[in-house]
Amino acid sequence: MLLSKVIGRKRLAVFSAAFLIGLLTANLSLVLVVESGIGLDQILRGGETDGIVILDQTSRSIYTSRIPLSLAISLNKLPSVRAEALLLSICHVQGSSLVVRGVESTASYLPHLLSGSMPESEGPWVVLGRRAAERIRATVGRTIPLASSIGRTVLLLTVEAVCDFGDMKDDEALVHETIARMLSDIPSGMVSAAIVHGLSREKVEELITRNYKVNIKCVSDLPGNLVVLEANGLSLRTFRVTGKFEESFELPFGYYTIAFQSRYLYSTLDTVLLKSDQALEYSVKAESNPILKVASPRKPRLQRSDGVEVEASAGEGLWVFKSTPGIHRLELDSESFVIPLFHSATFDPTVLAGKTYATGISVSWGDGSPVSDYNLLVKTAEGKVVLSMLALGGQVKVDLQQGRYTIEAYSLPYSNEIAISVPTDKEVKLILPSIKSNVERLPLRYYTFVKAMPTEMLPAFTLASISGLSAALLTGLAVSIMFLFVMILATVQRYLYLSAKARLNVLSLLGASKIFFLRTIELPILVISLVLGAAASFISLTASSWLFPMLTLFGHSIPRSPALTLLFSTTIATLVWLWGHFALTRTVESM
Amino acid sequence: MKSQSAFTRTGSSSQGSSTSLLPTILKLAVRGSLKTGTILFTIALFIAINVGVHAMASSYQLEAINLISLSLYTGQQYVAVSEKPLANAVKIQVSPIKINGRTVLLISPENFTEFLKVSGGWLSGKAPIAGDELAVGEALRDLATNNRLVIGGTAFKVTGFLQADGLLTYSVVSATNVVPNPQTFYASLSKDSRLEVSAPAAEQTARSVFSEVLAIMSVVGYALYGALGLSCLFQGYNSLIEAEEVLETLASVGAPMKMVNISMFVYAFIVSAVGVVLGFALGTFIPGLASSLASILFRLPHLKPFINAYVGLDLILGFSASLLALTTGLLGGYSRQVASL
Repeated sequence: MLLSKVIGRKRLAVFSAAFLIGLLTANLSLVLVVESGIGLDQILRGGETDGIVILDQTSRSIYTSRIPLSLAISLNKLPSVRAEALLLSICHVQGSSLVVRGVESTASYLPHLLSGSMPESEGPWVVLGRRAAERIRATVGRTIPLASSIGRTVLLLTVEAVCDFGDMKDDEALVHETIARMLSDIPSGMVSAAIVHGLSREKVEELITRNYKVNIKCVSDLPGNLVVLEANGLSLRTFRVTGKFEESFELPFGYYTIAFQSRYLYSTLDTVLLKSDQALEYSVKAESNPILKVASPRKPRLQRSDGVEVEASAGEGLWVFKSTPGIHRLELDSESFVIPLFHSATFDPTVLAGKTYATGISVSWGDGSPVSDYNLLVKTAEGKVVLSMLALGGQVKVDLQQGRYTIEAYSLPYSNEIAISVPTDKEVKLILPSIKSNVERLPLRYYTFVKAMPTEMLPAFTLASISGLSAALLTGLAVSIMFLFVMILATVQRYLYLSAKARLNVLSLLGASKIFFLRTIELPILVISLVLGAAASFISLTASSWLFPMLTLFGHSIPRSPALTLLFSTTIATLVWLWGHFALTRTVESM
Repeated sequence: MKSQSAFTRTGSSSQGSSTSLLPTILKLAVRGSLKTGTILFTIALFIAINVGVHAMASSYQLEAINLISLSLYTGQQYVAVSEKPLANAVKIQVSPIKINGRTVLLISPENFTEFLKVSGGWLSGKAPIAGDELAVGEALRDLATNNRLVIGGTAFKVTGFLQADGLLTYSVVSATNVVPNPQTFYASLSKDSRLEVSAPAAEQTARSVFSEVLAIMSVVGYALYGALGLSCLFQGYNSLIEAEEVLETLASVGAPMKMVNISMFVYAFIVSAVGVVLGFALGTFIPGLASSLASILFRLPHLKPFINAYVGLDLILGFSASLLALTTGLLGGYSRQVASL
């Protein structure tokens, strides 16, 4: 080969070794900087690749944002729109950070299971991604302490499964959403952010960042409250209704339920997807003489709320009472039942699971004074409303069957709730306001105090908010490094031509043309450079497979891309060769 | 070879004139014969990148952690749970168990009252005292039937229910450990000095993120110093290969080999030192200027580059790498040229 005769084997060997080392360090540095940037971009997006993200305007990142869950639920009610709520937080475990995702169910992740078993119910479990498990050295069955970054909470969670998700979740942890709320200090009714598919950013912003006028007219035979419930069932506005009622007010975009609530009566009047100004009309009518039929072999006693007993007549195996609308007390054998009678109904005590127990509920303000005029909702553990009443005193007694219930008290804008077990808990106390579980305490404008942006803009938004020029600095750093390495490798190549200057001079004196130099010296050097580039890519990929797992960003491993590494190598090798080509041409011309 | 012998002989007989070798090299360098500008630029650029990254990262770390620790959590109580012993901690033994298919933590604290205090919970009912008594977390109420809870075939009496929004929610607390091979933890109402397991952990999270960034930057930095060494080696070599005038000058003053070595080393020392000073100046000035502009144009907080041990290490590494490589390169080039004379 003429090249080795002109340049010399020793020089070629030195050049190749230095070029390879130079390319190797160039690859490692560039790949590390660029891949870290790519990794950071993915992390700051929360792993979302497309769609429109909705987050709190004041938050700097998807991990610190809080938005009402009802926004996601309401957006899902729009045709051809899919909105997914995200519950994310950055926690601390064994000296490093770990991104934790709250999930309702792990069923969809079952195909990714590597070891352990997927938990099926809520509890103190954690499912770790493959790399996260390796990093924190956790195995299935071990219990690990997870510290919240925001709240004063350290939870002990048992590793139930390790999964290979095949994406950035491999560096994260999945927990049940109740655990995620404890770790992120996000109350129920709120989530970190929502990802919307099927709507443009402009349309999302147009929908969610303004209020709409609502005019409600209602005629009611009964005194009570007209309640506006947001998409996740939380009470948002309440109006006292007596006879005819008309009110105009403003609400943000959302899917609302309009309900009528009076003592012992809860009736859903309408559901509205509010995306424009609306005028609504309702009427609540009670029968003037409702009839109650009671299926019982023995004669029951029915009393009106004023104590007057209603006469019963027998017919078709049923006892028939004709009364006026209102609350009645029915006594049957040794048991008593509260019956709200506004429409004709049949009461069959045999369908009841058992007897009821009187449970005392007292509702007071934070200073201890009793709350007057509040709404009380009693729900089963499954969320079914079993009792709704308008209470006028600080203390009330309700009759409940054995079981677990959630009692919610609303005196808007304040609310609180408590879980009880009947008959164990005979007396319960609720104190208003309770900030933590009180979503309604947030001003209504909070619902429109959100920002929508494409997911690809989110990392830039977060970086700009947090560290100003970080993104620009990263780009600047990558470009500077690339320039530096081209310069270094050009110096190495220059060594090759300089050390063979005398021989090149002889060739020039013998009349060697530019084409001759190109064919016999430069093109073989280009081939050598490209081969060395490919070798450097291979070696740096091998080195990075050992090195990169030790380096993390927000607890996430830095991704590795063979294609990108090869591209860097060959680009630098080609640029250096071009630089050398022009230098050699100049040298030959000056000979 | 003849020329080399003549050069060496002349050198060894002219000790007196060799004292002026360094000023001569420096004069030639100033005239551009040794391509000193390019070498200085390379050293300065490498140092500037490393110094700039470290100075700004350290500055941001300092600002962020100060902001977190001073503004957000002043006066707040911390809680820590660790497998390693903590000061003033209550020892707990923890075993994950399954009851009706649900994961539950069975906890046996050394001191129930202290543990309740640390967990921020309260008890409705009585504390478990006997070996067959348990207190059950609020979320697990439905697992208890008639105030009895069966664990591993043994029925336990439920003496109370634990109300809390945290560790105790899904826990069953027993007076003594009833499951073999439990894990031992220490729970404390103080900030863990190792900053591993305390909550709120914002400060630790910020620290760990900065550690991650600095670890990445350190790897890039080491690669850059390797590259700086390679660059200086070849630049030094090439500069002497190209500088025939220098070699003629050295030959004319009859410099002995030892003196040439010392002069080359001192020249490399001066170039490396000036390069490091220039790099340090660039590495602190440019990011500082960029931060000032960002604070004026985008109303972002102004960050002053923070000079700490990392930056000192950068300067030492940069200087060492360039000095060694440049000296080797210069001497290599000198030997090569002398050999060809």
